[in-house]
Amino acid sequence: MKSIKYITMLMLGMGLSISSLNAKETVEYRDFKNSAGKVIKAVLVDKTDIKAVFLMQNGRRSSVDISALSKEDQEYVKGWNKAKAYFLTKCRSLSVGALLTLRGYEAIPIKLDGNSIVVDAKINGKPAKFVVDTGAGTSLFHTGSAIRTGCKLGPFEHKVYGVSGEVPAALAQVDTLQIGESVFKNREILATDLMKDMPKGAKRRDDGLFGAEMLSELDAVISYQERTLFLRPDKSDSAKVKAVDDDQANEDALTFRIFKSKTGKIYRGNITKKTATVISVKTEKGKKIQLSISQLSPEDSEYAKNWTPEGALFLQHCRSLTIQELLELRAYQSFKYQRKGNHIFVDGTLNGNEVTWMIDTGADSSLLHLKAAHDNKVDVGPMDQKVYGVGGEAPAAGCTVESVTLGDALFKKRRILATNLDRFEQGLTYVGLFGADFMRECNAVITYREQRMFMIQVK
Amino acid sequence: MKLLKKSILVLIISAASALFASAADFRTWTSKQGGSIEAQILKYDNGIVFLTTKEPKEIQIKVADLSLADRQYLIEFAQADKDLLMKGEPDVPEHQWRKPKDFIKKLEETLSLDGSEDGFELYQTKHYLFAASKGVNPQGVAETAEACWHGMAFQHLEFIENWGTTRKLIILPKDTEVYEAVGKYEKARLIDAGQGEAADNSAATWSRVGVGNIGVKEDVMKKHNLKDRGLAFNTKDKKDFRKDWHSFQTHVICSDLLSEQLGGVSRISGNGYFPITRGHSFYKEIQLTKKTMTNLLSKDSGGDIGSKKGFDDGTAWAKELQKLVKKDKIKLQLLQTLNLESPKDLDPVKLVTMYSLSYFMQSTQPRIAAYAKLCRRINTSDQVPAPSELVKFFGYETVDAFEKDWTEFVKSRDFK
Repeated sequence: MKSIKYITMLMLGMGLSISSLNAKETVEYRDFKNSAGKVIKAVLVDKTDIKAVFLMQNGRRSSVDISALSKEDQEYVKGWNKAKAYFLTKCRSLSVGALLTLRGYEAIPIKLDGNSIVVDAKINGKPAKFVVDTGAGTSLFHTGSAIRTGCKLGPFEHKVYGVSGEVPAALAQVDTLQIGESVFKNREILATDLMKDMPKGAKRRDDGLFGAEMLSELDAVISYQERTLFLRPDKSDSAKVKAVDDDQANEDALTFRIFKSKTGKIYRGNITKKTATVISVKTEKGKKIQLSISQLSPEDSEYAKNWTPEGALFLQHCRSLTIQELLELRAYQSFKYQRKGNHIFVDGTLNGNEVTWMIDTGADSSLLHLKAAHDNKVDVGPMDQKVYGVGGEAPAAGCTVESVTLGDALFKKRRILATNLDRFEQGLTYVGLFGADFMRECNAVITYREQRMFMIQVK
Repeated sequence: MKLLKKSILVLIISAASALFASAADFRTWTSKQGGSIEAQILKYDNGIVFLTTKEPKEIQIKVADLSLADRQYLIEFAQADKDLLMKGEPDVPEHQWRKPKDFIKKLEETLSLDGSEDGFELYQTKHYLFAASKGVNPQGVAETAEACWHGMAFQHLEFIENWGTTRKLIILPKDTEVYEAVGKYEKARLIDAGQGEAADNSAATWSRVGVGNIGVKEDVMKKHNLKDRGLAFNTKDKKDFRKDWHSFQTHVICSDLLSEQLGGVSRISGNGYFPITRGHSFYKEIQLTKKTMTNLLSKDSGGDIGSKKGFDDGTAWAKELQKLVKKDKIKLQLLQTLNLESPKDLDPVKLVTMYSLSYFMQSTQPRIAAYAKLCRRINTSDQVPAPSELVKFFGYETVDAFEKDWTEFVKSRDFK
């Protein structure tokens, strides 16, 4: 590889984190009011149980009784955390990935096929590809893939429901389903013919859908911009580590990183020291081990080479950030979503009317419910199109949607399809599927644990 | 000057001071000359980007030396000012690309599409695999392809990610006989895959086009880490591949690269894909090689094949259109141009209008940046935005305002 011509070597051994520490700190002032209504512009820099220490705009420090502040400001001071605030601006430089891999998450690279998220997996040790599908309430196999990977199939006495109606399905006995380090053992997963009605010659790009129940179980985080799926292997059946509870008190237990050796051995822990060739790791069980950097996987050897004690300290503080805090620092919009069963919903608008959308990473293109399209005055064309999904094909109409919004994100004059999403006339509470097309355009991040979706539209 | 024209079959695929960087992931950073480096951003400060490589080494690069795509990344993910894309004259990155010493490597193995022993010789570059008949020198076409690839990577954010790590297969037959054999392979492959109609279509036009599209079988794809689609040139003279910037080859390669970035459109997408992709390919062919050798071929549902081309002499395209626009004989209209659906809708004026639209959209640095954003939108939304939305990418409130500037551009000296 030819390197860039205009580069100047500065120094060796300086990683991301330590350099971030050297960058200028920006200070944001806030208006504080005392109980008499007097306003001061200041930054809260320290506090005790009774006093708050302010840095004033003139550079002086001032100590104020917390009880003398307005009720709102008292709440602010109460909720303020020094370590967090001090590092807040610096933590901005972290990616979602850097933050999550500090917390025992594993980063699984995704490949986009069209707009679909495809990940590599192993079924019973055999390679397979799955589409990550928040719109699939449960994971689903393609029958042919279940047979190919040696899963025992039960009778086709079950039914699955998709865009195109219901189809028979059988339970496939899966000994192991592995994605990255996450392993599901002895699961029964429904299998159906996912090729039904597909155009002649069409090739199946995946072996099934990695559905919401598994994503939820593994606290998945999906980041389109980073093209990565983050999972918590400790929450799977791999039983290599004890699953850690979710409450904040136990958060420390998750401060490990997953290291992989070239031969596939897994270590969970943190670097405490390093030399040029060896790292000392304290494992999550408290054991101290030495690992040769050259024997680590390429990614981990890179991480080890980049590791510095200062950087580790910095990251330790940043770890207290939530994804929400991190992304909001970067002007992302954040939506708390509603979960019904395994499906996730957000409120937005369709042609100016307030509506609810289902979030569906499995929909390459957003899709409207036909009745909702009519109800919301969408320009609906003839039913001369087809949509393909679980259950085969279904008739659909090309539509022109004047506007869709989710928070500040605006999608204008879009051509999307509409079909009857309510085949069993149960009455839908949502207008359609907010698909991967819109989410990619807004660099969406979806989190299962925090039940939030984040978006930023490139303008 | 009379040029030997080659035909191309048109396929429409269905289907401020210190700033912190926010997405500190490793990505490929590209320089004007085509050098690239994988690194994480540390910060962007006063025109200098601070990066750290995997080794790790910290490096500094002047933002002016970085690709437009990298500058767009800084704007989107490091809160850099939009001015980064507003300054300077547009570059022709394809011509600034410097060939690395070892850019092409002859492989020991050969490639046989149909399992026969007599295979193509293989030459590998960073992003392509050339399968050439014995005696064919692929140096020129390989240089063209890599330079054009760099051009896309330079201007289009996410192009590198969208392209991925696989190579594109390009077959370079020594003569028509070998090319015809590739056509037979493709027909048989399509029949095997149960795509009889596609097989008939491929066979009906194969001999008449200057380049054929082929599908790569899975075992070959896996073995050589290839994309599932490849190209085969219909060669009359095997010397054609020796020199770089062959017009027709440039057209085909640039067309293919843009298709990779756009990723096709959906069946209900409405119009716009055809004029944008074709206009782009002619624009690049003429911009990079100063002439065009390309005709468009179309096959209608009745099986008739028609050929369409622009003004006879590609070098005079701009002047001819300029004359017509200056004399008010034609009016440049966005909606009408975007509504052109296939070569059948074309006459020389319409084809050259398509060319002028692509040229206008890539005529200044801010427009190139807007064009790149438009391409990303087409990729994610599987549709070309409606005219009223498309013009907003370029900073226009109305289609009229866009058309006015487009017309002015065509009348100006900049339009060549």
